[in-house]
Amino acid sequence: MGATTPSEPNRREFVDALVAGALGLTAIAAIVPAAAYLVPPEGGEAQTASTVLPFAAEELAANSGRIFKFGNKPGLVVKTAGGEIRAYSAQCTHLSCIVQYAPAERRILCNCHAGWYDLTGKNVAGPPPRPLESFVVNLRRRPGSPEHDIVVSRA
Amino acid sequence: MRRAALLPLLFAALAGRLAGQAAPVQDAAPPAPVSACVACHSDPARVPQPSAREPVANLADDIHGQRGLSCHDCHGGRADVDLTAPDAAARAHDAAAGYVGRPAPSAGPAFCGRCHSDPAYMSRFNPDARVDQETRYHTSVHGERLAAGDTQVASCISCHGRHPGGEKSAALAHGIRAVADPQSPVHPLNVAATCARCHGDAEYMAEYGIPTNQHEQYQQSVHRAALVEKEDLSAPTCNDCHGNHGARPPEVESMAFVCGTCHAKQAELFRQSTMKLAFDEAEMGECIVCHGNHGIVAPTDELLFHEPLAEGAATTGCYTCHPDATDAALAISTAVHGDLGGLQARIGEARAVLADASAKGMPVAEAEYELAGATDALVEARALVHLFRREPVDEACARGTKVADSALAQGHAAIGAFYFRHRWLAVSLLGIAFVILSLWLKLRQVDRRWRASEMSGPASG
Amino acid sequence: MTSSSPAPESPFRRFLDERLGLASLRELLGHKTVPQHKHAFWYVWGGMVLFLFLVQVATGILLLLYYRPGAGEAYESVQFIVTRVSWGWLVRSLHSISANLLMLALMVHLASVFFLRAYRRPRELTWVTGVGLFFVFITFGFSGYLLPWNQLAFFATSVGTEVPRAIPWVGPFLVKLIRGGPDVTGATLSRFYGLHVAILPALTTLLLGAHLYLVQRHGMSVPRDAQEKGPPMPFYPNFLLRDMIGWFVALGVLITIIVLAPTAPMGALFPFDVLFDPKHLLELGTKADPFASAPEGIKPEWSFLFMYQTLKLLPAKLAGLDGEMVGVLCFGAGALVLVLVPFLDRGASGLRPNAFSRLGGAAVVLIGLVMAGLGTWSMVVLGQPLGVAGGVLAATWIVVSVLLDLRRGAGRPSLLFPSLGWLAVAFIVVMTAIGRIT
Repeated sequence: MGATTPSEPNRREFVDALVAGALGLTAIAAIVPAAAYLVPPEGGEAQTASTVLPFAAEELAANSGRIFKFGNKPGLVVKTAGGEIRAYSAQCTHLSCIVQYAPAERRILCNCHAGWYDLTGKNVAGPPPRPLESFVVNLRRRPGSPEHDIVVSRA
Repeated sequence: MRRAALLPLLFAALAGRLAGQAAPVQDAAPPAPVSACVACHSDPARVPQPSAREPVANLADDIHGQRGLSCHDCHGGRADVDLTAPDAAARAHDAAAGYVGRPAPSAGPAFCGRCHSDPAYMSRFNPDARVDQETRYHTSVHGERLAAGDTQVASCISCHGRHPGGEKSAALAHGIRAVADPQSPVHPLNVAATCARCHGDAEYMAEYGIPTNQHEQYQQSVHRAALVEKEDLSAPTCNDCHGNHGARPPEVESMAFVCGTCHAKQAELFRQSTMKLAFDEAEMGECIVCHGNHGIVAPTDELLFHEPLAEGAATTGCYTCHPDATDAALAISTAVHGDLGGLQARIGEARAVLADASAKGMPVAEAEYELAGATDALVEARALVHLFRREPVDEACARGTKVADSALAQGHAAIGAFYFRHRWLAVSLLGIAFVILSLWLKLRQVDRRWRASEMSGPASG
Repeated sequence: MTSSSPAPESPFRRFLDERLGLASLRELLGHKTVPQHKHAFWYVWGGMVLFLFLVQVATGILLLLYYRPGAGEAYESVQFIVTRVSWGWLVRSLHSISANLLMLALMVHLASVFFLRAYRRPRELTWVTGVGLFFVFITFGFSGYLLPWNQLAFFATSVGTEVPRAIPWVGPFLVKLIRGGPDVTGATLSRFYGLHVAILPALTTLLLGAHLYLVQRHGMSVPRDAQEKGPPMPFYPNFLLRDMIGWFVALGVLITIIVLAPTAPMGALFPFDVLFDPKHLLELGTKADPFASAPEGIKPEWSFLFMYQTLKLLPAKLAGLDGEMVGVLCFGAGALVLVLVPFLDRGASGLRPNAFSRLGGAAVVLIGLVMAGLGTWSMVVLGQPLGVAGGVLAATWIVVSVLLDLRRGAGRPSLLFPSLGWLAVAFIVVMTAIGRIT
């Protein structure tokens, strides 16, 4: 055995304590953020892509449209005269006014500067430079009811 | 043989023109066999004057020629004469066969209207064609003056015809292009220049006593910019506000309706406001009082009264009638101006902070997305100005400010998070250094002991 | 504490011992030693790879709790993690940057083992499992890159998955298999996700388990011409402490890159931004839009860059064959050679070269010469003088090392393999550099 001075065990204990402390700190520095990470944040899940409208598909009259909230943006859902349900962003591509469905013309109108879009969202008259963003519409049967939820999601 | 081939064509055209009855349809695409008119008037030996040959040279460019029509369809006469006969010219130009020759300027509209006002005839070429041009023309200032004997005013050819020599040359009636043809003088991109040919010529317009600077003003306008630079063919040019065939300046009380064909929201708000009554009573032209008529530029908040007018500054917007601050109603304007300016500033501030955060690598896409809602509110607030009341603008601005504030807060939070991460890095690096130090101390110790044990013999190692 | 005096056993330890048989493990740990010699520094790199891999596993599992595979949600879920989840930015950035450091460490480990000839008998299987792990990690990187479903990743993956098409007969089928369809779509994302979180981890468990077992079984290899300076060092605690210091240094480097990269000018994080652009790895960019045109200058990430760049530089036709096909086949041959290195380099273990090794060696020489020749020829066609010089140098080097080998007696390690190794390294470095610069 090598010579051990009386201070060696103390020094050894000190260094051991130091290492233990350092590694313990490291563990805490890793575990605490990980634990915080696991707690789901306020505002629920990833803002994605879809929203369920607050009214049933059957409640929407044919050849009519309604505004709905998509995330924090306005959307327009239209039921065509033939019964098909379509949804678009309701923000006019000209100066972002909110568009509306014009049943008489069977087109979408932006009242601000008389911009018109057809039912595919394409800009057909007036100042809007681009088509309206189209959303994907799915119908989901409400359990125990003949009605359907309208689920709108980004393409 | 040529004659025989032409006969059915000739009968059809003549019968259709004179009796206004349905005739066998002519296809637009294949050009009609060459008529005698064309054959003669393209021959320098027979027709030495260039001006009499010019119409034929341009027939291929002319929409009428492309549709299969020829000289006799408009001018009458016979198209089937034998050119070798000595009396060919007389037979062709026979008034008994309906030859009208070159119409007098005052008879121009009727000449064109013979076909263009006939729905049955026009529907052969375009089922949807309008046939009210002539009627409308007679309601226009041009039409009224022409009827009164003024041959200086515009009629069909003046706008639709060709001007080979540039602006000042007289119009030629042959080589008329379709309106949608970019080379047509009445294509939306060209209308203003065509009207300006007369209306911009001070000498020409001297006796009428109306301004001649409209085109010049229009060149500065935001409408022209939209038409020419943004290539938005729905942007207004002269005919959209004045009418094209029935051209007249809009009535004072109609101004909001005219502008409102596109600017529906603002026009509707204006019509609901008390200002409409005031303007109509004073016979002031509604929208154009603040926005101008021809040289309309993008409106700014400066149109609103917000401070006394500087010396010599032009009076626009509210200042046109309210040049000084003593008017109590101007409190509204000043307040609205403040609201709008405040919201715009807030949006600018939020945008700058978000851009800063983004440059720092912090994700701010959501906040930027939300901020667009504030811009929406600002656009709406600016439209609501046309109610000339404070409350609606206040409300819209309040909404917008709320959104802008939220985005601003998110931007500040992002920047705060950025600096937090730097502080976290510093602390963590210190911590790591501490760990490495302690490990290294332990290592030294452990190594020393091991070497010592090795040296004292492997048995105890 | 010396190993001759056993530590007093706590009741807890005795409990575990009885049930798990931990005594043998502790004995192994106590007896494991690490040789000391001038090349001993390279021993840390295996542990470094393991450490970074564990970082990937931990951060990967955490990400898994919030990530949603699927074209409609993937991008948004990553955005959510990075903006809304507590410390989400750190977990994601760690995963992203550590992946690249892992690749770097992996290449260092591979190169050091190769050049030190640690694959000699009896460690051939250690090498084979190691190369298997190398390919698995490359695939980890490639599949993980697509998961955020942003423009950059989408188009880089489109470009990268085009490469196998050049393989004769099975190429187009392989591409369809990899992509889950004719193009890169949500189906590709599903496939890559499955690969990344299930298939590859399972493979890694097997291969890594085998690799680590074999390493413990055979101990650390000592290079043939290395002089041992003193007795081997105990693994625990002496070498382990060294390992751990390295791990914490790596951790420090990682978090520095993560926090400083977004605003650091290029060159400030040298040498890392010579290879990979940390800013691009950390920024989310825009969501993938298959109908938008590809961003300008799209290229795969740096670890695939040399392959991509080589294929780009190859002419359309090489000696009547499709240029890309030749390139892809050559890379395939290179991968095969890599796996078989211990069996080809028989001379390394001091055994007399057998027919197989001679054949193998000859095949390797031929491949090397052909590649150098084709590369030079294609560079001549494309007018790149640097490439020509490089090709000529490469050919010369091969020839010289073969000649030197022939002069040396049997039993001396051959020069050929290290030569080829250096050639490969030079080739990869140059191609990656060209790919980064252009």
